[in-house]
Amino acid sequence: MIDYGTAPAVNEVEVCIFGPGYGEAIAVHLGNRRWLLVDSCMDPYSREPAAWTYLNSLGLADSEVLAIIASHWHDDHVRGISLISEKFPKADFFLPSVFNNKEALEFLCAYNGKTAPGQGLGAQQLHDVLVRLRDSKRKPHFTTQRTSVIDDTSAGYRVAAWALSPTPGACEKALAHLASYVPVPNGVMPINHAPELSPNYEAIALHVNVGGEIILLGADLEEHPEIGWSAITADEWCLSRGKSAVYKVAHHGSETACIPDIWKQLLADSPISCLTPFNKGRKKLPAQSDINRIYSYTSRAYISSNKSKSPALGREVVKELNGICRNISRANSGFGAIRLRKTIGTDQEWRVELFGHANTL
Amino acid sequence: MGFETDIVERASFGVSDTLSGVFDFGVFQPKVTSDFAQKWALTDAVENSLPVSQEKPLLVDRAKPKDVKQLRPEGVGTVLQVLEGRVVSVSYEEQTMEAHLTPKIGQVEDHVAEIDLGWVNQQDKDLIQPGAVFYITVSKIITKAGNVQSLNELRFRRRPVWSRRQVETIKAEAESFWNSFNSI
Repeated sequence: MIDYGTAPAVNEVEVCIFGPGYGEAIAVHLGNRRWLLVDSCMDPYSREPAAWTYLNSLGLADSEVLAIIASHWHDDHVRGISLISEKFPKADFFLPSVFNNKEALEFLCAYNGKTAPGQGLGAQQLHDVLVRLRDSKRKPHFTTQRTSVIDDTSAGYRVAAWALSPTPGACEKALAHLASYVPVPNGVMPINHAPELSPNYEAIALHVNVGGEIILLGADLEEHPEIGWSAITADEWCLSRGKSAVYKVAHHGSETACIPDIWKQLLADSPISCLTPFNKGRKKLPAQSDINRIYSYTSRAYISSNKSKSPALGREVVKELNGICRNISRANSGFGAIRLRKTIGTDQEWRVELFGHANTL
Repeated sequence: MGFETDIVERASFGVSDTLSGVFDFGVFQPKVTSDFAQKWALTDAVENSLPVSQEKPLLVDRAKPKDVKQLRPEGVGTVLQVLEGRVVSVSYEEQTMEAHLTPKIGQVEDHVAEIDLGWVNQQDKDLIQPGAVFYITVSKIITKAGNVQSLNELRFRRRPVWSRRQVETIKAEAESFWNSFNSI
């Protein structure tokens, strides 16, 4: 178990980014023991959602969570989010507005894990949250660009969180994708796992302002001239939110989620940049070229865990598998967390702390 | 035109302590005949011990898997590991697929790997797509002569198709969400 030390002070803003190599979760302290949770991954030590383990370890299990956001439905971003939603039942739940469509809801219902266990893990998590909300007669918040997630001044300073994405066009495109996987009883379509569709234009990128301390959480949003990052950097409303000094780098640092205007228009000079790796798929992220590119924009960059680790299947099994497989590696490369803290409304620098396998990028 | 399948050889295995039950691997040679296809029951404790859908998988005729050794009936085998794979992506240029592998024996974490498409049976090639599920079984056989042989197999799960009832259930639940979340 990781020792996270002490809880943030009531007048401190904090961003804590958790990542096990395949997965991502973020906890934002908004001051006064109030939190915003974005996405979810599992802590391999506690085998519980990382954000829950974190809050619990700091004695903050009874904190007020104002909002829980599922930035998109891919399972590396929502593992354990249904449990998080259960632990904090009063929190408002936000998910991309593409799911406010019958076909998208059918998609979640189809891949809810009941037809075959282990199927569509991400969809299953969101489905379970929706079941709980429906049964408790509450509604989720279907989120699109300019949706207000939080807007509160009760602490004497403004706390605001706004969705910068997805655009309506992105939702249409995502809906078409999801609808193509909705089952039809034509005697042909096999029951399979729902594939994770890419590129990702429907993720919720979030702008958070805590008493003037601004954070940009890029989720897995990728670039597209009309519905991706360019739709944000060309939007006056988005630009008017203010530049961020802290950036959770979009899509694990990949080049498909990076345009110069993100760094020029949305971020302050040399922002503190944090990311989680993605060790699944043909191309592991971030690649060296991604790292070089990030360092061309900032001198302060951190990653939650290392690159892929050697396999842990036993020597004999690995020897046999090497005849079938190449590049076998663990999906999770070691769990870590990057924590940034700053006293709200001061000129202090952000303090960076690294836990577990987190490291300088 | 149909297929007639003859079971050439069957082998029974003892199993390791970690996997209960006895399972058979059928090894057969398909012959193209004018007779109607003859289905055969495939009993497989590997499949039976794993989470399955309510509907039984379709029974299919299979060609001899590549690199599967001919086994003596008295051979004793041990399954070292069974991995449930999920295809993440496919590259037909490179003839490989990227897969997420979940070990089923023991508390072992998930892995990722690239797999050569040549390991996939010809008759399973149509199943290769992102999201498709397959199993890799890694086994060792001790033959009558005392030799240890490897027996590794990759087999795609030929999933049942969505039934009308399942689709109706999905639509009904989606409708309940829609009504609940869009009510005034």
